[in-house]
Amino acid sequence: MTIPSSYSEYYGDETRWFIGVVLDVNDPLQLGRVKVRIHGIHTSNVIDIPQGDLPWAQTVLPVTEGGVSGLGANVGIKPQSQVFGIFLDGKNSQLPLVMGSIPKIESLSAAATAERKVLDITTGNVKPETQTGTSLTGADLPSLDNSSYVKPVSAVGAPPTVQLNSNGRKTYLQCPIDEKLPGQSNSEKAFTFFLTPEGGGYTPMQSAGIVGNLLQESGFGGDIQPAIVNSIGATGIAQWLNTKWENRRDNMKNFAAERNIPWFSVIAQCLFIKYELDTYGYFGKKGILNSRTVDEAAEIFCLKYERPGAHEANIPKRQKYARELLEKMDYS
Amino acid sequence: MAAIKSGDPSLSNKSFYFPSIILTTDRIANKEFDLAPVTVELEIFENITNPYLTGNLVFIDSNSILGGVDIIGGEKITVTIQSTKPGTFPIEKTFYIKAVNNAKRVNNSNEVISLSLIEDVAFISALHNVNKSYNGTCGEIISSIADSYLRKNISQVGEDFQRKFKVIIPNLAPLSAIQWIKRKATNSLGFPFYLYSTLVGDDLVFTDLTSLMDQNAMNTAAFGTDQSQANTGSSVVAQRRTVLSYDYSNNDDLHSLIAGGVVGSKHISIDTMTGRPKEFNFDVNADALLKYKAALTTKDLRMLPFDSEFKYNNESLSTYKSRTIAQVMSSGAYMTESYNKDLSYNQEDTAEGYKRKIVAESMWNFLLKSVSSWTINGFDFIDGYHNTSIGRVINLKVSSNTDGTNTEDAKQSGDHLIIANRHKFTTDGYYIAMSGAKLGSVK
Repeated sequence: MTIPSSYSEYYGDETRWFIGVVLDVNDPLQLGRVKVRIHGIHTSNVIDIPQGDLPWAQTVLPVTEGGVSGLGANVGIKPQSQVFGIFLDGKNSQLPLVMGSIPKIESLSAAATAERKVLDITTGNVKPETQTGTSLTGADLPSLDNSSYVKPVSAVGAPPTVQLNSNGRKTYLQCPIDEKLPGQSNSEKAFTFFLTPEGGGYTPMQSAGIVGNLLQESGFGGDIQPAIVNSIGATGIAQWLNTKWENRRDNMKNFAAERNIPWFSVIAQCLFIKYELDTYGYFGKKGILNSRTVDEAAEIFCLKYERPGAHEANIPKRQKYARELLEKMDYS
Repeated sequence: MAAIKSGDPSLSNKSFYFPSIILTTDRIANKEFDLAPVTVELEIFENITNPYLTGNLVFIDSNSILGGVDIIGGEKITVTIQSTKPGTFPIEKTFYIKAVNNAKRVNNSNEVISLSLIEDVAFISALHNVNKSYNGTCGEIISSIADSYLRKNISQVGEDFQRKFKVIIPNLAPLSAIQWIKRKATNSLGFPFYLYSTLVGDDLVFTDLTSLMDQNAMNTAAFGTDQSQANTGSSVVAQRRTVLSYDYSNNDDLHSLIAGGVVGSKHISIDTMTGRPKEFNFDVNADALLKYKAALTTKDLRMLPFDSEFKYNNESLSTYKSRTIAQVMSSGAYMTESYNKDLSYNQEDTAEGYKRKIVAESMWNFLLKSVSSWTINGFDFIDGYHNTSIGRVINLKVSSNTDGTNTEDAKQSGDHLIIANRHKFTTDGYYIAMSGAKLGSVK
């Protein structure tokens, strides 16, 4: 493409249209704007263009809506919807305007079909997804002929992935559903997950900042442990806890159950982290997306998402874990 | 105009030599071909609007280089040029073969080969696609792209005024991306920035119009069209400073500038986030040229390239709004607070900010309103230790048409900004065809 031409004409004379995928609908200004990753303009490489750097696209509402004074319907576009729009600034392509969504077949290919399969924890079989809105990717879901770990969500106590080794110490087996996630360890799997669009499209530094916290919270044997439960009931990689104000641990388990994924899997808990970050602004997603260093990301995730007591925070240690992970993943 | 004849080496093909012109290709490892002995002509083109050089190389092929090397385009040619003047430095530039212009057979054993060359930075740039987000000032983003994709330093002169902004480069080659970002940059007066590569120097130069025009001329003795100084009885310096040919054509087209809206116009900047358009008028005299005149510290301009005394119905031409130009400049793409913490590419904080863009567009056009071209001996321009070509100011003395008085033509004489050069190294000598822009006169 050549350099966009000089701006000396009427703005309507130079129009460029696009198709993209909505990634975020939580407009901080509550004006119905959405973040769209536009095919052919915004690379899918989340390192070059992190989700946080994507522009907010205004949206067009039908003429049957008020249009002033806050009157009219809300924008109903959901994340992952395919949208059509135009660039208000033509070939400069910095100001997208979404004009509508384009319904699509959600299982076009074998890969796409696989992506829509979920685990049935009552049978242990992989089955087509019946729920909408989940972003669980099942392309790599293993078959579960002997899924000993599959238990009803309401089961009390530690899942059967916890075993005692020859020294009588607890060890944690990897949940089979996580086996095909990319990465050698749970930490690497989580790190990679947060880089993907399904994981939020964070930068490597931001993702390491998140996982550095998880290592501090649930680190055991040098890795994050989704099945770990501490003495007061804090559970999983982020050590979710029920308190009198909120029931984040149960929320996590229910979230996993609604999606038919074992709650003690890395994928379930990473998805839950993404869900909480996307849904509740106070958990600090914006700050994480705007962070420019791994230390900054680790600190924001600690203060906004984990919110530990002052004596438990030990932010330098979380930052150290994050930096080490980043280096290990060759991103330092 | 007559060619100069003298025995001095600086006036002949003894004024320079090629220490080497090395052709290498990845197809033939560990082997290089020195074309210097067979080169009959080398042309190198500089332009202030281009961040790379181009050229043409003509050599006589009596060793089957074209066929033996199997030149297919993309071969590297490193040219080294050295002045014969004592104390000078060699100039080294690396090009890639862009194309084979032609190959003409002279006889059974000789062929004249003409190659089209393009500077290495442009060739490498074409290999990359930039699709990446950036956050910074124009200068910062340009430096970042140049460093990461082209391994080039940016030498910035003058401060770009626009504050930090966020941008996603929409699939452009690095040099195109840099030029696209450069288009946003202005200095505090709204005058545009230029980005160019020079024959002497490795960095890309990023500088504003005020800095360019506010230089003293690099020559103390003017280059002149007076042919009497070309006599062999004159000093060698006087002979070298005789303009060999001079041309002033296709200039002062005020009509086109008026029609393009760069003399007087109305502008509407639309922000779809606020729904409130910003409107302002542009008058080249008040908003650009008078500020330009006041900003110059090295010269006191008496005449500007536009005069408000030009009137129609008793109104200055620049007060007529010959165009209404409306643009969507913002949709709050990066707005996450109640104020614009992060701006987008075309967005500015104020109407003055938007006006700077128009001032830049206008001054860019006005710089090209009066451009002269002349050819001179190049001996004084290849010392090799500092840039003496585009982006520098040269003083030119064009004789008036009054017989016998040897006076200057006030309009065409004076300081000119060199905006383009054609360096021609031939078996006859080294000559430069220069293009110089004049933005006002002191007389």
